[in-house]
Amino acid sequence: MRKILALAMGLLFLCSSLLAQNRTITGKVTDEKGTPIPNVSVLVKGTQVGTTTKSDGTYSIGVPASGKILVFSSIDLETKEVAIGSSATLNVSLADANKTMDQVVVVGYQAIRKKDVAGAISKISGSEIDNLPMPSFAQALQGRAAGVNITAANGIPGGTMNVRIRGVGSINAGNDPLYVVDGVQLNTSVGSINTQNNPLSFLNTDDIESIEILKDAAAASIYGARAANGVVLITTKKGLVGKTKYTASAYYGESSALKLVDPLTTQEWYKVRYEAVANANPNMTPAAIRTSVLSSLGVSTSLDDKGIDSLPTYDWQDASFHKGKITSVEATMQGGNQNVNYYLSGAYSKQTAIIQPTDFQRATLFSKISFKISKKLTLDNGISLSTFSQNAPYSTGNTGFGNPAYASSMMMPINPIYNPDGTYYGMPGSGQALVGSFNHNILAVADYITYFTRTNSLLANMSLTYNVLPELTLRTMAGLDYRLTQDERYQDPRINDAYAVKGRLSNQTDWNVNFITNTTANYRKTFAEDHSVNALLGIEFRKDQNQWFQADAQGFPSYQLRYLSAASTASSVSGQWNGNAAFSQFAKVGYTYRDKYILNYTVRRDGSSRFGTNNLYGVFQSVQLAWNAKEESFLANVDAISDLKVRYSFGQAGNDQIGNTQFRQLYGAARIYGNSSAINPTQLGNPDLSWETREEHNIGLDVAFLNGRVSLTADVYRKINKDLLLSRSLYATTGFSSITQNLGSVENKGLELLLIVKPVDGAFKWNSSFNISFQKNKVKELYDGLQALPGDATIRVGESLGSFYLAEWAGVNPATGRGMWYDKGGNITYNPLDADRKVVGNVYPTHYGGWTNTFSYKGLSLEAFLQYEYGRVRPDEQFQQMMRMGGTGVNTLKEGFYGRWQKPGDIVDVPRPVNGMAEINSVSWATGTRYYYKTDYVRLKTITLSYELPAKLIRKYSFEGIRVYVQGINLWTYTKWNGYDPEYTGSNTGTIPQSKNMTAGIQVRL
Amino acid sequence: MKKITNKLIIAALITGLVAPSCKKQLDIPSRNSLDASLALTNKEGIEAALNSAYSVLKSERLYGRDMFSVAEAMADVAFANGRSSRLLSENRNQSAANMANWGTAYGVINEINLTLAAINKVTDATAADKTRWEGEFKFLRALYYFDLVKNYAYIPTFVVPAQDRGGVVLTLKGFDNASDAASFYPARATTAEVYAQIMTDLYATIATLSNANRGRNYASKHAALALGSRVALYQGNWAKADSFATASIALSGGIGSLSTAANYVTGWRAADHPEGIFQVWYATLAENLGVNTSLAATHTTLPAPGSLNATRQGQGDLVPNAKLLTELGITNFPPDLVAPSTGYPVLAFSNDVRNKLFEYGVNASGRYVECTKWMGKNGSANWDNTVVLRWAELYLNRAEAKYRQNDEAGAWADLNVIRTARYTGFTAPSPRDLSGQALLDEILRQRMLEFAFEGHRFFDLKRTGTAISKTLPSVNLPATDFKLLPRIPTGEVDGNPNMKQNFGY
Repeated sequence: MRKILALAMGLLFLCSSLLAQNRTITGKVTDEKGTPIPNVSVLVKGTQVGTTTKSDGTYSIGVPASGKILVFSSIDLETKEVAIGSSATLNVSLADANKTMDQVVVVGYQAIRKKDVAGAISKISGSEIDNLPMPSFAQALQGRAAGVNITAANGIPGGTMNVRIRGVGSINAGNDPLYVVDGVQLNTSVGSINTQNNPLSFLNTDDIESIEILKDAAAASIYGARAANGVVLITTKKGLVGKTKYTASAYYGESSALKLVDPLTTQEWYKVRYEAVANANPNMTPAAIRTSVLSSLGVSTSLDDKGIDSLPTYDWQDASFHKGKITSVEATMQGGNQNVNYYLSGAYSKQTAIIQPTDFQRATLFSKISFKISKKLTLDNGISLSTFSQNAPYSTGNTGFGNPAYASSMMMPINPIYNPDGTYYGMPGSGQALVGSFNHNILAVADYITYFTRTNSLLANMSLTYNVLPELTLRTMAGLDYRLTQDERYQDPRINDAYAVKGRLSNQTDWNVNFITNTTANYRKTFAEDHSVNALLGIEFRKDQNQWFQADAQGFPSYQLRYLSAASTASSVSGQWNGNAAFSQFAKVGYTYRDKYILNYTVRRDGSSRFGTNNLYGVFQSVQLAWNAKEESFLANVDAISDLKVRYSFGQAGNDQIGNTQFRQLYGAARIYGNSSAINPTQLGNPDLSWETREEHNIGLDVAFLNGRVSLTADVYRKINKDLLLSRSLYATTGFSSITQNLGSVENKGLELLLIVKPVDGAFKWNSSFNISFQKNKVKELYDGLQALPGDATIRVGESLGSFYLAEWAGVNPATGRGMWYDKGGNITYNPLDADRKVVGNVYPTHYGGWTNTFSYKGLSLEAFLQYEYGRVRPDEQFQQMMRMGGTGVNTLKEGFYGRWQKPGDIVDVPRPVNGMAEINSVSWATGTRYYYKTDYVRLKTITLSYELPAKLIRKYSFEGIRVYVQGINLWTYTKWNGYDPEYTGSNTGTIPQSKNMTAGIQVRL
Repeated sequence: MKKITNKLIIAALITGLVAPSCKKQLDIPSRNSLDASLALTNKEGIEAALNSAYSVLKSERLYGRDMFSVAEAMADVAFANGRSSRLLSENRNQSAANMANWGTAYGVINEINLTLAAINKVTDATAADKTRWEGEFKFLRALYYFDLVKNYAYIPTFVVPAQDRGGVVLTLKGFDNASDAASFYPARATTAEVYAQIMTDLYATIATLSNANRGRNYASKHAALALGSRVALYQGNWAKADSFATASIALSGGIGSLSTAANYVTGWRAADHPEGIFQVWYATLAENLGVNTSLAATHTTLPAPGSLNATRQGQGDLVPNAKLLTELGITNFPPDLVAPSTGYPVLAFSNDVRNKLFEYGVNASGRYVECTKWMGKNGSANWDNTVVLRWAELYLNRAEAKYRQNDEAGAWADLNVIRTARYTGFTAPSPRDLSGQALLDEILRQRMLEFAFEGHRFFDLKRTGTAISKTLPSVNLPATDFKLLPRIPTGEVDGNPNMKQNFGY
């Protein structure tokens, strides 16, 4: 767009400079405040003639007769083309590149002026997320965009990030947004059997120029059937015309645990176990209880009290949590002339997690080249090559005994970790045995296993742009998103789980090939100065294919042999192919009158292989209206208001995130009997299966005061997801559990605010950006008039998705120490029934957001970014496991031990210990809401102190800039959460919790 | 301008060419599954569907574990030691801690119904194939329905009328389309109707299958007769229980034979138990149920007999209690079941050979006496074949049936067959040592000993209306307690006015 304008300007000046001769032009380049800028590239357009400005910003250049235009460019600054007039002096002022980028917004298949935006779009510029030690951009975006709730699944580096734009609208279909990188829609399916290899981790966040999040259905609608959960558009950096620039940067740091829990000593455990056995077995004699408890500690049953007092305690948790290391280096190079420009970058980073052997290692190469074949034809090519490897934990989140994140705090404290000679204690075959349910030496397991995952990813796009006419552009693009995931999963024969079978190995390979191509025609023209029209017409085809195979074997002669060929027995092989395709046509028409009134209409027709033969195609439309009130004459002279825009939009978008063959009636072949294969019906068909549709109204306001010192963006929305892709429960007596039909609807309402204030703006600057989102969800309708979804009583009409529907915990009976619950009448019961359940809290936050404050003075800058989330409730499942209070052979927490019921009259939260964690004639402790807590937290997500070395000092050594910084991640958290950390998704049993990081880094620009 | 128009026309043409071929591109069939219309059209398809109907028996909810281990945990012979917290609530007879075979069983029943309807449409099979298919499918349907009705309903020989909510849902027609399935609001058939249907299927099996058919891993006439005797016993149809057992014992060319006191233990160590008439076959290592919930893992920590100092193999969650150990003739076991860590008391064994399958396990949070009926007999752990019907039951069924028909001498004779085969040096006393209630008690006691950890005891208590009484854990559950019957899965009752939940839930 800017290019077109520049071109037009150039043409305009062409006539006036026809008679120009070979001559010298001099001048000075300054920034907007008049400060001279050195090292700006000055190039005569269309030639190789160029120079750079001196330290005082001046330049002198000999211009050949053919030279008509000078191009001024510098990294971080806007590139400017200035026509050579009659004067021999040309002084130029360059604006900050980010500022000008801010004026352009990518909206899908085109970029438009920010002024013309009529939908709800959040934009994050690349500079906001530079040099964060976070493998995926989704993690870096957390808390930065109103209406976008991002949560890390756990603390695995490169692990899953949960991104929800404006809440969840689907019950059974996916709620993940669509990601588009430089026009290529990503396939985000995960292919590893070992760990979470988040496909979004392929991209180095420092290569990102900007991220636009299309939040309302109208903005997303141009992406049709894949857009119902919003669209995240990522635009990568590209080369700027001018002298070649180099940057190099590196950072190094450490991560450590946010919190450790407090397990019991051996003596405390003896005590709590004794009580648990006694309370569960009123008939047992004290001597028998003592024998039982001592034997479960693995010590002599004749041990006296003094002997018990002298038993040792070992801290397994402390031995399991380490300090992680963070390293990153990267370099970029960019430049270009009028015909070719390029951006190249290479980066390497490594992070080790706080629990071994988990790590993440990535190398990326990124190149972007734009080549002007002729005046009208441009070829663009972008290639991102990335390989990341992960050593996975023994388990990424379950109750595996060998999993340190799960078991370390629950290992019986009497178990030694090491033998005196430094070898691991209690290994199978050693004659030593660890006592307790968790009888695996978790440190040995972490040390011996190889759970390795390598993800190789290629994202490439090539496009040909043909400027047919100044107002008409044709563009054809082809893109490839290719990913190969390879897993190696070796259970060493020395560890408990594989000792009996002499080691196990699984090798898995998973290919994803996602091909996309589209052709668009873009037309823009302004008629009679006042009427601007733009139109877009396009077709698109996308095909995704996934294939995997896995081979498992066991029986290795020795742990030194770790490859399939060394195994004695092949235990299993499996493999599958899956694919889907979509074909789409789309169009957009926009009209603007004098920049005041904006009207956009889009329509898209999508066909998808995922839908039934009766409903193969869907049509999605949207309309957007905006009024730039500031352009009106009555506001033109009101200086206090620097910007005022009102927006309204209505749009439809579809959700197709269901299985590839869900409408088909199928027989599967996964079973086996007598070593012969078997087939069985796996799915009832539904030829009517169609899209889930989201319809949304959005009203927005953009207002700025005092020359932009205060600006506010507000959006309110109401969206309805209807014809949900609902898994309709069937009675099991039909032989099936469910079928997928288009039934029911869910409503989301919300308010999003973004407030940017610059309280101090001088030599000392203070920028403050605050965002908050309020979000409310409600199930509007199911089917057949049902008030609750059969098979999932938590989904209830009138309630939010993600509700918990449980019997309410009523605390501990002070007289007996037994746990109590409320029945439906509000009375105490010890055996809560289904009928006693009620809605208690919700897994989605009611409000969340972030607050950034940046203070800068000359080269010194301090940025503090707070992220917060309120209103979420979750079961703390890891805490529940850690609070078994001697009810089984695992260690438990001091807070439970010292807070337990001990004698009648005790008013406490923790019931009396009882073997099996359930009183006779009562239900398990964990029933109902006992372990459900609010996850509310406020977190100092990042804090960065940086110093830009003074230009005077470094330019002597021909540096353009040097920045040094220290950065902290998650340094401070406010929360009342009991367990390791409140930030996670899914279950937190056995997951590696979030960590805090400290890094120090340097960036050098040449 | 003309040039541009031409280019636009070319672009439009390309678009036009791409568009129609895309319709074809959008038809991507599943490559991992078979379209339902093709599945049951040939011989291979029906055989594969038959394999599926057998394979479901292997699942954890059925003979993989629950039908044996959960039933034993609920009965009065076992103690859940809490090593892995499994089966604790079942062992305490807590509410809704029962076997849960509803969904699994109805899934496979639907498969059987669909395939039975498709058999006659297959053109590449012989009449003999079709007859055999019908017999095997009907045997399996009978077995799945029997396991449902014995669990979810009262057993006809002991019903608490005020709490009786009927049998289970009876479907004999498969569901092959979504609209039929979505509009199905079933009601429970009466218990009598379900038992009648089971017998109908067994008669059909008896009429179609050869005596041994394909051996003990598959249905056979022999298996149908043996199952029929148990079904009739539960029904209280003593004459039929007697005649089915007799026919099964007398069948020539049947499967297996009764073990003797001399070869009883080796029989249990063999992959194929020589007494087995029908067993669930785990043919490959890949079918193993893992270290947590297989029968072997549930019942023993031992990798092999006598290896009590080896590395722990399974969880050993459910162990025999003092009552069972005593009745088996084992003495000197630790009074609280758990042995001291050093110097555990040496066990003493009577002449009952069945107690040879009980021994100390590995010291893993304490050392217990464990049951070793499943211990890697297929070559490695956790995929032992599971015997569903075996010879000893024929004699014990018939002994009880004869007793109920007032044939005490006949009952005593059958009882002695078992006693001879299980007690070293047993000779029948003369005159007859038992009569009346004592005789019945001994028959039921022999069932308890014979089938310890094989899932009979709980149903024997339930069908005879005997209270469940244990000291460890402390449980005293009268036979009228609602917890003896499971909760029908909530989702089956929600929204279906025709469906009655069991009493107490």
